[in-house]
Amino acid sequence: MKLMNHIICLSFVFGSFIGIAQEKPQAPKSNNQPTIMVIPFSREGVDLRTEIENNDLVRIGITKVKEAFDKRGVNTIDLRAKLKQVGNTAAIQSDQKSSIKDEVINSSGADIYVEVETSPNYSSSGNSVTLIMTAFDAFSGESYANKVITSPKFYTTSFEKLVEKAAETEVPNLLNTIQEKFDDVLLNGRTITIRVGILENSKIKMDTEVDKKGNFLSDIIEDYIEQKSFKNKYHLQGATDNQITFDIVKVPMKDDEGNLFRISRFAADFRKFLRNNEIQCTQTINGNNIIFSIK
Amino acid sequence: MKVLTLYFSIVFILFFSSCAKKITVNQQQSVDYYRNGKVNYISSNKGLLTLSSENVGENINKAAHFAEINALENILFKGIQGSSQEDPIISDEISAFRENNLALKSLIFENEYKLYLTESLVLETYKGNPMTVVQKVTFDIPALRKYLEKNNIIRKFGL
Repeated sequence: MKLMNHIICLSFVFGSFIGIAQEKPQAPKSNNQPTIMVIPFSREGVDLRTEIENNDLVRIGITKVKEAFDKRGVNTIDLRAKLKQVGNTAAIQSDQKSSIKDEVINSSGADIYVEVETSPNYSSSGNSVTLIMTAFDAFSGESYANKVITSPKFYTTSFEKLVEKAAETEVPNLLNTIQEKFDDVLLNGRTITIRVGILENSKIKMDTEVDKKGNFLSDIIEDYIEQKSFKNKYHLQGATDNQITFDIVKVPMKDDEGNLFRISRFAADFRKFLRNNEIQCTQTINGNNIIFSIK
Repeated sequence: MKVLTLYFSIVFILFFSSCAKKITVNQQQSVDYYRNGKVNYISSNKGLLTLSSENVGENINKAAHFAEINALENILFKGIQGSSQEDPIISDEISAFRENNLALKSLIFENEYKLYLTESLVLETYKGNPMTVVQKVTFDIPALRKYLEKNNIIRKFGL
């Protein structure tokens, strides 16, 4: 009887052990969904508004590509609504110098913009459409993915259908390539460049000792970048008396709270670090480039 | 003691036989499933991906079943050239099986994939031992992707 009790107990223990091993709960894999805006490719001197208003095929192209993104559950921003918004702002701020494309991208809040180019191909064996899609990081301008597809040939002038077919086939591949880039960025960090220069009337130089240990200014800067870069990955392009340039500094995609990492925060922290060493500087952020000028 | 030994033997046999991935048809004339690359793109329409897939089996039903699994595994782990799924849906097969063994096994080897299979027709058969079948199969890719996302096998699009 005792033996039977032992066996029953063992069965429960063994059974629950197998259960635990096989039904290990998965931690939810959180992710922020980026917003995408689809815009037409515009040649030099032609702005977005003209391109979209004067070219039917472009209008169809961006609509079909946007639709394909929507079907995949991706957040998209409507270009025409943004153009209208920018148009209203432009009427108020008539002295603006940037192009409508820059305005739309900057004001949209899109993380990625996809440029779409469509061109009809006419031939005696049928007509087709070539669709070119290029995805860019809206912040840095870095290209994420390119896809070119030519639709099958049909004896038709209904290019809308041909564009739809091409978009339907190639948008999933475009999204997969973008996702691969995201995965790589999550694993290896995002690249920014940092240049620290010294203004002409400054009293210090890169080889000035700035602490009691006898470290040069360039040493403490490099040590800081090494400590703060993602997985300590950085590359020092060069250093002179007046300038030190890091052409690769990896920063994380997300901060500790899981929000998207802001480069302005990185710049502010660096500026505060110099200030703690009694060095004052100004900062300029342009895309993924940060320039510090030490006074 | 003998009872205890017998008990553990039974438990071990049951445990290991339940973990085996191999699909066998019949002990005498069994044909094991193996994945091959004989999967070709036919067409796609509104997220439905149609492919031809070739595999072998002891009889036509088993060969057709293995061809379906073969097509699915190619979609998941290899990608289908010329289609809207040129890249595999699951980029790292080994880690996916390591982390989500139950859900993946259930999908591929326990017929759950049939929920996402909208069409399966025999295109060609070649008699022999084993029998070869070319099967035309259509998978609902968005629904399949949702299953994989829900089970944390793949991430949703995003960062």
